[in-house]
Amino acid sequence: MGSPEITKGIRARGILAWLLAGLLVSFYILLYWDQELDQQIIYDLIIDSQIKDGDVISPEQRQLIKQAALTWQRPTELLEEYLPLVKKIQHSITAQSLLNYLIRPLDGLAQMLRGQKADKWFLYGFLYTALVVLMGARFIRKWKYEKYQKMRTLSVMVVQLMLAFLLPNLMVAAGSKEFYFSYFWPLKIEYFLPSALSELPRSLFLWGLMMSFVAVPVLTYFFGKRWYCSWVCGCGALANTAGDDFRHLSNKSTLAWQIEKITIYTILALAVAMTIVLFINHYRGVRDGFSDFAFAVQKWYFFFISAGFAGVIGTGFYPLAGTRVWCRFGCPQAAILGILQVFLSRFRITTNGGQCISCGNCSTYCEMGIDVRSYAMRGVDIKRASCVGCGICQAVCPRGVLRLENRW
Amino acid sequence: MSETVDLLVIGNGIAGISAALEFRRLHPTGSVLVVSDESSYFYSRPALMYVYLRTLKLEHTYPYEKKFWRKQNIALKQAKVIALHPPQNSATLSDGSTIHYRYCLLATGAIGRELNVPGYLLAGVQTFTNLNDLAKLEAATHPKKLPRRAIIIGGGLIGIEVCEMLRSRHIPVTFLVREPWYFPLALSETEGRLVEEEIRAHGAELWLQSEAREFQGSGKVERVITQDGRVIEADLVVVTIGVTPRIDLAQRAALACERGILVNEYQQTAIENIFAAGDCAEVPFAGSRRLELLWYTGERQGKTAGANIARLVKGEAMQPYTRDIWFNSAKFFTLDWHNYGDTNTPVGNKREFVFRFPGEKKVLRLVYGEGKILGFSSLGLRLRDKICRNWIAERRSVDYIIEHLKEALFDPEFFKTNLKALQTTWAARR
Ligand SMILES: Cc1cc2nc3c(=O)[nH]c(=O)nc-3n(C[C@H](O)[C@H](O)[C@H](O)COP(=O)(O)OP(=O)(O)OC[C@H]3O[C@@H](n4cnc5c(N)ncnc54)[C@H](O)[C@@H]3O)c2cc1C
Ligand code: SF4
Ligand code: SF4
Ligand code: SF4
Repeated sequence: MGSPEITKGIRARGILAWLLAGLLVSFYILLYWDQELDQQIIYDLIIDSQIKDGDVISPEQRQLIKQAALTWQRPTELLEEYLPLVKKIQHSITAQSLLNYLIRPLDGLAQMLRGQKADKWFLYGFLYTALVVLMGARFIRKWKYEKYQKMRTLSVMVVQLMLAFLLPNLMVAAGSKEFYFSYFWPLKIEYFLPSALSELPRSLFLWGLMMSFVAVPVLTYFFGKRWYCSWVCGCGALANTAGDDFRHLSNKSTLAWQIEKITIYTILALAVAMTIVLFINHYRGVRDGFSDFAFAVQKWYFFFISAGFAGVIGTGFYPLAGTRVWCRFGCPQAAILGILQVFLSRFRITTNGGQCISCGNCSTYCEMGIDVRSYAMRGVDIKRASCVGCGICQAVCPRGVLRLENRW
Repeated sequence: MSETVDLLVIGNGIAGISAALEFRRLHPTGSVLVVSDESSYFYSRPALMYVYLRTLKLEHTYPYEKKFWRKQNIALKQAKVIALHPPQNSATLSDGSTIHYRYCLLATGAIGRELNVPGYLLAGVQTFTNLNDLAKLEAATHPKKLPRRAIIIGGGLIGIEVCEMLRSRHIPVTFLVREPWYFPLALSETEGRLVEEEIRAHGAELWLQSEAREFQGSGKVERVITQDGRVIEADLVVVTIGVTPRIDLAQRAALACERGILVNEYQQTAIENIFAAGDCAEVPFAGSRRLELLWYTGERQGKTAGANIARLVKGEAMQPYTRDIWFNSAKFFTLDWHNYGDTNTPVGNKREFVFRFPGEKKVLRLVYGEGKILGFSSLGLRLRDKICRNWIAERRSVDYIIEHLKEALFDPEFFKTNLKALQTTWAARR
């Protein structure tokens, strides 16, 4: 984005912000890149480099060694003589994987909840939940006089802890596949892809479908986008708790608004198109150029959109571009909720006649970069697709001009 | 250097800017130049305190993006108008240039009123109305070199803002208020007392019925002597006893002025092509005249002036400044204050019902005459503009209002207000 307005906005952030952003981005890159280390290839390379000429390892033994190195458990069938090799692999993985230093201390907790050793996704979930809960408590203290803020923060804290952390892990312990009840297509796009048909129990698949196509429109009709983005979703949870100090960094220019409208609906279109393509491919049931294309689309969607945009940019850029970069410019769920909010919802922000003194608190602290003031100055109600209903504009307004409401 | 414009606006506050925008809306091609000495862009004056509190940067208080002015084709210039020459239809600017205009709007605003006591001119004594005052206050209260104590003189809307500002840096504050309770001009005693609780809860010393008699110090203020002879040591004095319209430019151009620049109901001065609006204008009101020193009145007056100038250019008839039902709002530390209609202390056969919610920092006051509502004042709770103003316009009975009060509440969701208590008190009273 070469526009001077946007780059200037970013450059205005201090050196500390850049360092922090660097740290966060590296963490995410490590998290995703580290996935490569899990790949069998790396194991094979290590095994190949370690076996002496003439030694032969059968494919079965190879598999056992890999399994042992990966799970940190020794399958009984594994011969004693291969233990050094397992250790070697583990050491070299550990050396390469900085994350391991963070992961290992969580083994105990993971064992308890999940019945397995911790992996990097457990670490990620743990850190994420801890941030939401701890920083959520701080946020609640900060807004102790604002009930709306307290209630919704409590809600995201509970959802994150219960539905997005404890429950999925307990499900694994109980031998089922982990499932996140608080996410659904198209944000959690894999819950409505052909793969879900085979990987998820039918009941969970149907739950996801119900959420996507029934709960979303109905709840949005009554309460606006906020029921999800400010009361349930984990991305919103992190943004509004750990990210609170960065919320004012969102870009308020009309240019950013124009860009947002293009990118968010493009990604929604991509998500829908990918879903369709994968289903067509699934029902065609043949392996050909089309299926290669379908899987390539899926791979790149996960790489660029789910990992790159939502993760690395969405969270890594908190200190530079505010907390809702992904929510505002990328999230396909937000695109759907936003369309519903504008055309089919009782939610709006009412402005109180001519009471606005144009101070700018509302616009400055709107994490979605909405120029709330421009509406308040004219005394018109605000119905914007991007508004996540966080209610901060209402809380910071010194003249009591703004009120979030579901008007009947 | 000389330039000719259709409309020259002097002052880029809310009045001047509203005029320029309204003129532009009605006359898309006329040339407009806004000259102002204080800042290059229009900013929100009531937001000054948030810049001091560091919750906003000055830029955040600009209501329009910078490119907006280019799009609107409104020229901005930061300079002082040092003289206005009505016979030549021209103005001389501090940068030496001369502007010729077809129409001119004076929207020069107001500055802090001076306190007529010995020592007022000492360094460390200041007002708080503009960027210059803000810079002075910043310098006087630099976190590395805080004053021993600050004294605020005058208990109005600006005084309490300054109090909040200074307390945010933990500066010891003594607040001198002349009246028997806080802000009797607009608040009943019950409301005033609640505001006083709030001031004291935030750590300021509040002295009611106290006035300053003299400021003393060598070169710089060191102490304040009150009327009753008490001495307070302090290195900073902020005087917030109201504002004075800036009329010097108009006076030198021989325009008729009293407290403000005199205008008719079209915002026009005695000279046909010169208008005035906002804090600097004295407008006709109920057979007399008054100053209207508010943000939204500045906006309305400015709009009226801009529209009338556009109408004159197009050879149309002017339309008078109209007032809707009065409203205003403020915030006293954490307490919201909303105010609609006539909330003056009732005289004659007007009455008021004042209710402080038990155990809460909330007061609701209804002013009525012959059982019909005239005005609302709410402290610690928010009221809905549309409903309140409708009820006043419809002359609803107080009984009706007390019964339907819920509709008028504008507090955020989940806020609870004990309306039952209010309703039973009202019923018992009858
Ligand atoms: C701290 C503070 C808080 C306030 N809070 C509220 C509030 O909450 N609600 C409310 O309703 N009102 C509030 N007010 C009052 C409100 O800000 C004013 O009524 C309003 O700003 C008046 O606007 P204006 O355009 O008439 O004048 P101003 O905003 O004063 O603008 C006039 C401009 O003209 C410039 N100027 C003057 N002479 C010249 C010259 N010769 N050449 C060039 N430029 C010149 C001045 O420097 C100034 O920038 C507050 C005021 C202050 C100071
Ligand atoms: S915009 Fe998307 S990611 Fe953000 S809170 Fe809403 S649903 Fe979650
Ligand atoms: S407009 Fe208000 S409620 Fe909506 S996102 Fe912005 S700050 Fe939050
Ligand atoms: S915070 Fe309130 S008073 Fe300030 S600009 Fe926004 S709506 Fe207006």
